[in-house]
Parts: sequence; C-alpha cells; structure tokens
Amino acid sequence: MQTKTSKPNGKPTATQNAPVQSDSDGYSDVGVEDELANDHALLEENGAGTDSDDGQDSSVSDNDVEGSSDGSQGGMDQDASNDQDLSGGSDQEQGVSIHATPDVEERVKKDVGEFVTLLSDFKAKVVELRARLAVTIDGVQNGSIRTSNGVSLLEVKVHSILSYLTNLAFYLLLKLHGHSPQNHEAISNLVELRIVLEKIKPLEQKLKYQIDKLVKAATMHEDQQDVTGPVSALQDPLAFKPNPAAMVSSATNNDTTDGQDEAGGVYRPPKLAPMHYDEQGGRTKTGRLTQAAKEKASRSRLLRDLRSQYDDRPEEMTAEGTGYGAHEVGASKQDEKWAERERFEEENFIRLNMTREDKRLAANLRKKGALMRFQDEFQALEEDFRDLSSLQRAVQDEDEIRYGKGVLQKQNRRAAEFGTDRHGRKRKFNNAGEMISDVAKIERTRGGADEFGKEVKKRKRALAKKK
Amino acid sequence: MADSVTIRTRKFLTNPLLQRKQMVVDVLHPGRANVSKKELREKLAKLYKTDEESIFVFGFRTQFGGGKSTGFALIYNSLDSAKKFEPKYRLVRHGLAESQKTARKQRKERKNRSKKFRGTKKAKAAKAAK
Repeated sequence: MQTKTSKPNGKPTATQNAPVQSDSDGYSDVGVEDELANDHALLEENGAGTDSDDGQDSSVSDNDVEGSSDGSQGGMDQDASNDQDLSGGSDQEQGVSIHATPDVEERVKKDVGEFVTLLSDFKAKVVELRARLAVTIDGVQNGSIRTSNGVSLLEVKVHSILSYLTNLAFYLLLKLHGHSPQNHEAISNLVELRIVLEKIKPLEQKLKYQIDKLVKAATMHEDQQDVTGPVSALQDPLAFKPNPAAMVSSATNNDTTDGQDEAGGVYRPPKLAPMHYDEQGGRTKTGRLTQAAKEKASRSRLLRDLRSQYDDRPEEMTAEGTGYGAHEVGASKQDEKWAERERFEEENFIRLNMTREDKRLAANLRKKGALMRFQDEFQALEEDFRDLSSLQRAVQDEDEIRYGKGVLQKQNRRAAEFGTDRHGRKRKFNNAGEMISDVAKIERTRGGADEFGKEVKKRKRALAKKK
Repeated sequence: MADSVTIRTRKFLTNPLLQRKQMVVDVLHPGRANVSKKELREKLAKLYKTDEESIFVFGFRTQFGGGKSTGFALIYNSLDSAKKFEPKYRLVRHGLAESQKTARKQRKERKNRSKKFRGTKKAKAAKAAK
C-alpha cells in the first residue's frame, strides 16, 4: 500500500480537530482523503486485474486524484467538488452509466447533506478505531497476543469478514465513480463470502459454549496468575453443562440385518430357540424351601394335626381293617406303591407276583403290625421337631428373597397382605385411599378435581401466600 | 356259623372276542376266614342266572385285617367256549381237563435221554431206559 504524504493544501477541518498521533509503528495519521486516495490506488490495482475496464479505470483514477487534490479545502466543499468533478469526469468519458441529466443532479443535491454528515461521522469513528486497534496490533507484533492455535472457525470467520468488508468497500467505490457494478468480480466475491458467513453462523452457535468456556478460562488465568488447587474453571467438573450425547453408547448399530431379509420379498422369522419366560424373574436364589421339602412338610404329622385343628373341612378317618373303607390318605410311599399295584391288577385282570422284598414286608406287617404303629408315632414326633428348625429357616429365607430385609421386609409384607385379613379373607378395600374416601363419603377423582383435592389446593395456596 | 357273605362286582366288562363277561369281585365276609371258590361260583351263578360250570373264579386275595377279599371272575357264554379259551390249569381245577400224569422231572429226563439218538431209535432208547 502506498502511503501518501500529507497534501500541500493541508488537511480538512475534521481531521485537524482529531488528535494527532504519531505511532511508533510507522502508521501516520493519514486523513480520510488520503485513505480515499489509497482506495483509488487499490481501484487501480483491481482494475488491472479485470478484463473490460482497464483503460477507463486508470483514466478515472487520474481524474479523481486531481479532483481530490484540488478540492481539499473543507470537508463539505471537498465533497461537493468531488461530486461535481465526478459528474464532470463522467461527461468526459465514454460508456459510463451515470448521465448528467438535471434530474439526477437534483436528486444528488438532496442526498448530499445527509451524505456529508454520515461521512464526518465515519471519519471520527475511524480515528477512534485506529487508536484502539493500535494497542492490539502492538500486542500481536510484540508476540504477547498469540494468533496461532486458536479456534480455526473463528479465524476463518475473521478473514472472511475482512474480505467481505474489502469487497463491499470496492463495490461502493465502483458505484461512487459511476461504474456499473454488474458482472464484476467483487459482486461474486461478495455473494460467496455471504454464503460462507451464513454457514459459519450455526457452527458458531454449536461451538458457543466451548468458546465461552475458553474465553472465561483465559480471562481468569490472566487475572489470577497463581492458580492453586482445583479452583480454576476448567478443572472444576461441576462447572460444565450436561452433555447427554455422551451417554449414547456406540453399540447401537445392530439393525443392519432387519431390513435385508425383507428386501427379498419373503418374510423369514428369526431363528431363535424359544425360551421360557419367568414372570417372577430373578428367583435363582430359591432358598431351602424347595417343592419337595414343601410336600414333605405338608405330609408331616405336626402339620396334619395343625390342619385338622384350624381347617373348616370335615375330617376324614381311615377305615383301616374294617373292610368298608375307601382309600386312605397315602401317608407313606409304600402305601402309594401298593395302591398303584392294585390298580394295575384290576385293570389287566392279572395278579402280579410278589417279589422277595414285598413278601418280607408283608410278613413284617403281619407279625408286628400294631407295634409298628406305635413306633411310627414316636418316630414322627422326633422327625417333626427335628425338621421344625430347618423349616423355620427355610421360611425365613423365602421371606427375605421375596420382601427384603429388616424393616423393609415388614413394610413390604404388610403392603402385600393389606388386601386380606388374618384369616385369608379378602378385605373390603384395596388400599388406604379407598377406605378413607368410603368412610368420609367423598367421591375420589383423579387429579384432585374432587372436593377434597380442591380443598387441599386452597389450603396450599393460602400457606404459600402467608409465606 | 356262617355269617352273611356279600358279593359286589366291579369293573364289569363284556368281552365278545373271548365270548365271556369279566369282572372284579369284592367279597365281604366279616368274621370268616375267606369264601371258597366253589361257594363263590354258586353265588355268582345265582346272581347272573347262568350255569355254574361256565363260571371261572381266580386271584382272590384277602385284605389286611380280614373281612374282605378281592378277586376276578369270568362268565363264559357256553362250556365249549370256556374249554376253548380258558387256560389248562383252570380247567383242571374244575375237573374239565386232565393234567399230565407223569411228573415233570421224568419227562425232562426222558427228553434228555432221547437226545442222544436219532430217528426211530429215540423211541426204543427212551422205552428201554425206562
């Protein structure tokens, strides 16, 4: 870029008002006109790149340089002279879009005032901006501000915005100088950069959280140079927002086989061996009270006596020895075997031979029949009391498995047995709510829409107001 | 003294293939040891109004404690069918057939002796040894 020296005519009033800064880095306080001149130089360069407007552009730039040097007395005058020069300059050239008709001149004069104020504003702001940027540029050049290894998206954004601004300025320049900006490279550039910026926007939105965190960490790091302990923002795990995407496992892509079979047109059901569905589930720990143990316990004399005591059904006596009795209760396996044998014989009209063991047993029975019955009594007594402790333990285990331990067990058991009373009959109500509503004769509806619910809500609101 | 004897029949089945009726017989004889087969046949003949000779009774077992015995009975349509279908030993019991006079052991020994010879000499040898 060519830095023009200050014009011999002097700088205009606007820039004279602004403080003169001579920076160490070599940037002089170039006036706006100089900037414009620089832009004209740029225009020249750009013009060199394009195909169509080569000669014309250079001639225009020459004219404008002359115009600017001429009219550098006051901001307003200069602008007016510029405009007039523009119109004058356009007359001189061929193929320029703006024609110097009186209508156009009138319109231009209307907008001039506004334009001038805007420009003066622009000048002031540029000066201010220059002052502020000087610090940052200083930092970058010294190396205190690191511009590498940053968020690449932000770099792209910054560069694209810069080039967008440059192209926009060039487009304005073209318009100012009366050239038709159509089919110019700048327009296509502008469009491209616009698209890029629009695409960056949602990405930036997604990264917003991360960028904020980084900035926060950086600022905190600057503030407290000696961070001790896990107090810094990035080290405290509770300072981060929840990330539900981290919970999705990677092993959820197993439905590749489902769609392929149906593509052939024939539905083939999956070849799975049928498995038994255990509704209760998780009863691998069945405890000591197995089915066989239960059956044996039910047959024991103790339980039979208890049953006869508490049961309402009529008692059955065995008709042993009378010759009239029905089949007695199979108190032993031997009796069951014998009954089975009898059934077979009668079915098939045949008498089976007695084995040696059977003959022995029959002989025993005949000889010591009565004696054995007494022995059986005492044996049963012993057995009952021997099995009692194991039975108790088995029942405890089963309760633990089903209900839990300790106080929880008691609660669960009571909850499970709420619907039936001590004698096993079904109670009138299924739960406490039903009982209350029946007793209080309130009709219970869902969602608290009944009188009771409304009353409750009213009371709650009153309490909240009080607080 | 003979107490009352009650006869009850269970599982009555008509078997036309073997030309007979078969049933399970429960005999109630409280106070008595058991009822003889002859008596039972008479009673059944009276009950079913058939000839006593075509009734065959077997397999009676007294229940433990006494007073009741259970067994089987077959009532044939005629004596001829009975002779055709009944096993030899039951016919012998009734006197309708003759059992083997010779002893079993003797028969077997004879057979073994005749094994040593061939042809008509068998008969000569068997007779000779005897």
